Amino acid sequence: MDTVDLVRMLIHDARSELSADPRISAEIDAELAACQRRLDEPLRVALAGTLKSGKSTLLNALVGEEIAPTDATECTRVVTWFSRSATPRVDLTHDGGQHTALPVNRAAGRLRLDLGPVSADRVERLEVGWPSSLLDQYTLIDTPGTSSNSYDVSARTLKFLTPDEGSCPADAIVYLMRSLHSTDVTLLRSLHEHAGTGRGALGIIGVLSRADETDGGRTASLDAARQLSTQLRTDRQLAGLHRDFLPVSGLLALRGQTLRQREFVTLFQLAALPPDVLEAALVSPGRLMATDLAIATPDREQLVATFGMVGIRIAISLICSGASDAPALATELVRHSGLDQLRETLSTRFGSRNRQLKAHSALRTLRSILLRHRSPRTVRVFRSVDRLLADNHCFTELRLLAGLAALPVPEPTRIALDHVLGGRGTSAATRLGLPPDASPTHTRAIALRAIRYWHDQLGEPLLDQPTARTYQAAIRSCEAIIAS
Amino acid sequence: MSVTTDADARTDSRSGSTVPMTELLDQLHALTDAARRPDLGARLAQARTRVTDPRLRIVVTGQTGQGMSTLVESIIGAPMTAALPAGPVVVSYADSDFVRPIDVGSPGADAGPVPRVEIGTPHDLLAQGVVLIDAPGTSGMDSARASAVLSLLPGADAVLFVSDASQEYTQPEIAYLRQIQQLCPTVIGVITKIDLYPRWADIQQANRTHLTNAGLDIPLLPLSAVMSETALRCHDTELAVESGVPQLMDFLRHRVVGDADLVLRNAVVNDVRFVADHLAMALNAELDALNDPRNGAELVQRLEQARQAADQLRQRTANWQVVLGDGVTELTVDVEHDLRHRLRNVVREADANIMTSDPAKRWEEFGTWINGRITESVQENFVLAHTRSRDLAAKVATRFAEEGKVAVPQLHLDYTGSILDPVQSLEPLDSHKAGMIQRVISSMRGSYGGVLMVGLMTSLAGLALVNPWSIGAGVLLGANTFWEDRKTQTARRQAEAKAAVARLMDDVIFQIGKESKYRLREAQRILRDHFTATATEMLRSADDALRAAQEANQLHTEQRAGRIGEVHNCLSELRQLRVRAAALVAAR
Repeated sequence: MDTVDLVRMLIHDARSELSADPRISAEIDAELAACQRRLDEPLRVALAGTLKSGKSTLLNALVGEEIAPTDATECTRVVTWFSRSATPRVDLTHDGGQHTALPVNRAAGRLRLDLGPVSADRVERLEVGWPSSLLDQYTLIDTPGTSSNSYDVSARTLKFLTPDEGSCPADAIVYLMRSLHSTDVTLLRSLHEHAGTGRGALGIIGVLSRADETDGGRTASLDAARQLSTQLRTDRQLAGLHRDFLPVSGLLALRGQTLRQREFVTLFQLAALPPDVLEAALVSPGRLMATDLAIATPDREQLVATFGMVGIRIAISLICSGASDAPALATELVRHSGLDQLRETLSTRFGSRNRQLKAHSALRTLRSILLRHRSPRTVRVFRSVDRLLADNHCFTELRLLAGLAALPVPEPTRIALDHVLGGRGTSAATRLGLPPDASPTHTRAIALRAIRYWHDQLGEPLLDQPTARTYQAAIRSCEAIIAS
Repeated sequence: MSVTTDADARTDSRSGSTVPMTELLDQLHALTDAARRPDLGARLAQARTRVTDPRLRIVVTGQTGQGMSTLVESIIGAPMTAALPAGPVVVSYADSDFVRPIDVGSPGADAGPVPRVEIGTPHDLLAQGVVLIDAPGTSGMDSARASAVLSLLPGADAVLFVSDASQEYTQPEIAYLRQIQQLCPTVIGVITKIDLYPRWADIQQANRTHLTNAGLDIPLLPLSAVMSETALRCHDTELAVESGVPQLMDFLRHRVVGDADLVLRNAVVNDVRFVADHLAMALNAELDALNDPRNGAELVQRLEQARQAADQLRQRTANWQVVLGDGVTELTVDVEHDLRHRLRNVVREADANIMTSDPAKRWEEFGTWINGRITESVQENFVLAHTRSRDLAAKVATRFAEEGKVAVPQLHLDYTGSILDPVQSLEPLDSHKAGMIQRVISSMRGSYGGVLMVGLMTSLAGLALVNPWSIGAGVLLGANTFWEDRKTQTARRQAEAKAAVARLMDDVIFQIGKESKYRLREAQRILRDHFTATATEMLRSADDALRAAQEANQLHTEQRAGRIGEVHNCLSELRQLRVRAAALVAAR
């Protein structure tokens, strides 16, 4: 029986104990029922970051369809939930619990969210249901950008991520930023503090977004973004905070996944131009439209609108280096964008700890409910909840994994730690670096050897505290393998 | 600012406009010398120095990574070669390219407000006396750096605020713009990288909306340095126009340089008028007396009246001095109160911060935070002092001459450069944990008491002194002592931390208070000297007119004719000068 089943049982117990109590209203029971349902729902991942950091574009790239509206200026104004659904639907909750189903308005492959007569400040919840394999695993939450000039828009996000009372509804946060700004440090710090008090999201994945634009939009931008991400690992201002940022270009990833034959043909024609003509045409959007080329103007307009100048340049350089048909270009674009790394990180960090994270969230909610309605009948349940909450090694692992890049250890040790702590997957074989079909006795023996190894490492007299803590966690992870 | 390159070259290039002004001032100076009025001569000399040093400082600033340096490069049309250190870069005119570090005497100091590198390059915009200062990008991060950039602004004639077309203005940017505009009224918003973002026009519009909402009136100029560079390479004038750089240059040339020129001309013309009026007053009086000796007595009477008026003026000076005195006292109290209030808020925040957990662990981080907050408060306080003293100057000026036509002197109180240097930094906190042995001993002491107490009691029941009960009590009391010890230690450190903050604040208030008082007194002195001088000049003119008329009355007839001619000549020369001065402004 794993944690989720245990939690389910505890919630069931709590419900039956509380339902015998006449003072308890139906409302509490509904809360408990919601808590139970949460266990069956996918993990909730929120995308957060400052204004125009590319949250909606990244969300679209992750899903592979343009379901979050994007624009050149500030666009997302309310917190929007994207969850799995058999058919597309848009549900709006507003003005104290009124539900309205909005029409699914899709033009040129892009979903349009029109709130109609309801103003943004009256919206309680906007939920988009969409059939998508990614949404089966995660419920994605798009938040409006912080540091916006519209104060109420930023306030909505802050209220969602770091609520004054209650806990953050998201289980994990993907934090996007373009370069480090003091407002990012402030928000990261407050997220960190919220997580510390047990009211915030349990994990953060950092993303250096719009990576294609980092170095003034030249083709080497992604390298520049990688460099910046390495610098951030040792940045003094992020001391004690999350400092591992993956460079990702949401635009390239999205274009790769939604590439049409027509777009490819236009790009291919452009790539076939003599270099000097091409260079002259790509100087500015105006030039590209004005140059006399054998490519239809609407096609060019479409390309500039979807790819942007940076995207066009990168796509052309990919075509020149060998992507000769649309599928090849699409694959290259996605590979280039860094989306795969992000997906992988999402799945190894959160996907494989999915059940533990959800169980923990549910336990936290259950505990707060029980705390509000103390009764002698629930003492036993309460104790079990506390006992289960005490086992938070999973979160220790997540936290240490995020800080792994900054540890002063040799590279092989870092890789070994990444494995043991479950950074590459949480199965016993992956953690110990064994083939998947290793026998239990062998696994056990290797785990014992690993424990001894990390113990020896701990004996090092000059060890600094973060490293020592990581080694201890590694030992604890190996012990868990032996115990199971 | 140690920028002294090729002043001649720059003056030469503007000679078209400055030479007539200097000539005018020199001629008038000769006339004042002839009239034996060194006080008016000094005023003209001052105006002359202003005309001959027409340097125009333009600061380029913005948040990190928005393409500030690239913008400067594209303005001067040359790459800024070599790895430049962090810190402002000064770009000014030179006959040939050069790059040289500026010796500021303290090589250890970090990127402060003092420029580190000076670049010279021959460029026609720079030849017009423009000096570009490429300030390092701020990320709003360490407020020390942001305030270093802000301290460059009061002396600047214009500020280019750079933000790229990838996104509209964020809230921190608008806040920064507000601060900039308080310090330098001429701000130009530049939107860069329009070659990359097809929707830059939307961004410009959004920025315009944000500026309007914030009540800021700033021109927005979109441009692309890359396009300009390509245009230059391919000699493509059309692309150059599209790049928006020529438009910015035109703007700088006509609006900024032009405006500065106009301000300068107006000032010169005003000075010329003022001096010419005063000279003419004496000459006209003399002429009246010479032309009609019978009217002499009446004239002298009239002049007596004028003198009385001048005397009244002097009395009124007493009045304005009272206003100035009162104003300064009030200002000093307000500024000091404001500083104390701001710092008290910092202390309150710091105390709340300290009480959240053991401060020893994060003392260094706390130190940086509190230093940033202090710098910020002091900066804001000085800006307040600056604006308030400007208001005071204007108030005194209106009191001094009801028509309000009195010049107000320049004041610079808001420079914070290295003002916090003499302040001691936050003292280190004793962060060692008490030794384990120490704590074990004290818990043993606690447990000993427990064992003895309960052991004695239970020994009455016939048990041994050391028995399970007494051991249990010992363990409990020992643990209790251990935890108590720890709590006391945290509390002690928190108290120490608070005391350290209080001591730091004491030091800050002492140093800043001293500096602030000194500056306010300096401002008071400048205002007093300025207005006293103006009053004396007026009085002297009235006296001179009186004396000249009296002398003219006593002249013989034959001498009289000659003197009338001389005076006529002087007056016509003065008239000519005035006409020429007026033409200087009208030509614009």
